[in-house]
Amino acid sequence: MWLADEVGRNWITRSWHSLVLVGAAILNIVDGGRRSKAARPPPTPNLALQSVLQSLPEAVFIFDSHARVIDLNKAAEQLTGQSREELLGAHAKALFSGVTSADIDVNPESIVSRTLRGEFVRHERRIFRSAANGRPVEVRISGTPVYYPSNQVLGALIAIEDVTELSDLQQQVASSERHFAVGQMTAGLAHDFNNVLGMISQAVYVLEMAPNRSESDHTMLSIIDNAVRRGAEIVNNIREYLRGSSESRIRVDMRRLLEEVLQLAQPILEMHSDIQVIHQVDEACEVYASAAELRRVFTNLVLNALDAMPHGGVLTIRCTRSDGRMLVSVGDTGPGIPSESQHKIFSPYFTTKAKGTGLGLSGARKAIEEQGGDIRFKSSPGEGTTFFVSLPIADDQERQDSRAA
Amino acid sequence: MARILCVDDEPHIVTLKCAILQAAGHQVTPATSAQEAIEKLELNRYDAVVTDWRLGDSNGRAIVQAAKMNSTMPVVVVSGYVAEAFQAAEPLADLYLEKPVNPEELVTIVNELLKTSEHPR
Repeated sequence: MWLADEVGRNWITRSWHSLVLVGAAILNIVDGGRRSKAARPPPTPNLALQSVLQSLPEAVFIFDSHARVIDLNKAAEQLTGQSREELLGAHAKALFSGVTSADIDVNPESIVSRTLRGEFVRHERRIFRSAANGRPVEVRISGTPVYYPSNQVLGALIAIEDVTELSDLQQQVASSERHFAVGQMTAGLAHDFNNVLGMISQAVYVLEMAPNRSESDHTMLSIIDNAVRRGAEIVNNIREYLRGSSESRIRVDMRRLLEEVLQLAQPILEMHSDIQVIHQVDEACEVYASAAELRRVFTNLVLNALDAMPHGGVLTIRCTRSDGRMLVSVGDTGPGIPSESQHKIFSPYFTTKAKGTGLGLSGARKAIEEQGGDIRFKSSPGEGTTFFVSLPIADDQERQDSRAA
Repeated sequence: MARILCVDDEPHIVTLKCAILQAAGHQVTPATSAQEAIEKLELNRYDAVVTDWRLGDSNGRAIVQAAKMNSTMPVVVVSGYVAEAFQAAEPLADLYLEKPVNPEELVTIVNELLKTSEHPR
């Protein structure tokens, strides 16, 4: 979690710095106010300090001892979605009415009153429902009491920083760390599980070799053997997914690669005589990638497409140059992906197939992204699904690589 | 038919390996520890050894040594730690197979190795 710590430290340093500056500003304002005997609105403060206050990225509110706003900056207007005129003179209670908090007793209003009692409040996290767009915003609030030289609290300076993005980032880091740990654990499990499967298949082998084996024993043994093979495939998929690809990139002729893929799928195509194949590949369709990875990805996409058309249809494979990239598409005329599932198809362990592991498409995306490409799809219910893989063109990428070398 | 010593500290695995090699027509003796294997190698004559690498506290190195001391009999190491086994000092086994091993492959390999060792150089 170094990132969070780092950011946190930076924020604290930055925020202390700004609070000191603003503290100076408020003292100036209030001091000026005292001399003019006017509690609010505040008199014209020192211009330089006022611009510092206005340019701070944190929303800053300054409250008088009655918890009413006597000054604020632009970020404060943005955060609340209200204008300076609307906010001046507002009570803390009204100002923070849109704030939700898990702990109802500790709301921003109470931060103001605690600060007014002389307490320094540091970085308390709250969720705002921003009035500007209704979107929940996560904020960090700090309160600094502002004193008279006589030690009497004069007002409260409340700084609010929008940490929604930071918080999202921290969640991403946490999630990727969790992902890594799960990966490590899964790799170990896959290894052990493979050994278990190995024992089962060895036992099956021995039983198969035994003389006087009955027909029904043979059937049962082939069922076990098939199940073990499927289990081993699943474990292999998981291992491949976890291993990632480190194979070096070469110039790959997409025309040949796609022909190989279709050849691999030939036995399945022969079983489905009602599937028509449209195969259009431009001349000189060369990409710069790992051939093994691409073969795996496109085999996967073609098999998925065939799976989607058990009652026949059209399999379309195209490869064209488009906008300086190579665009390969694999399309089927199957039922399409239901719209409620579309956002999930690339996530690991998601599958719509009864016997799938779900690692196919997420592995495919990982592989394609590692090749400097991207994968998208278009699916219309009832019309079919087409996957588009865009890859760097061989010449461009090679030139770039040799320049970098 | 050959006499094969088969070593693994996991009883189920040694049973399986013995059964696989027996099904291929060999006469197989099981051993479940390095010590037991070495004792058997001293007392009896074998044509080949198929052994695991990690055996409880010890490993297959002493077994390979004992087998190769006075003979050219083939030794096959079947282990989940092939790299570790391969990096161990001499003498080397004839072949290192990664676990889990395909039974047919094991039989083919053992038979091939036996063929060559029957006609020592």
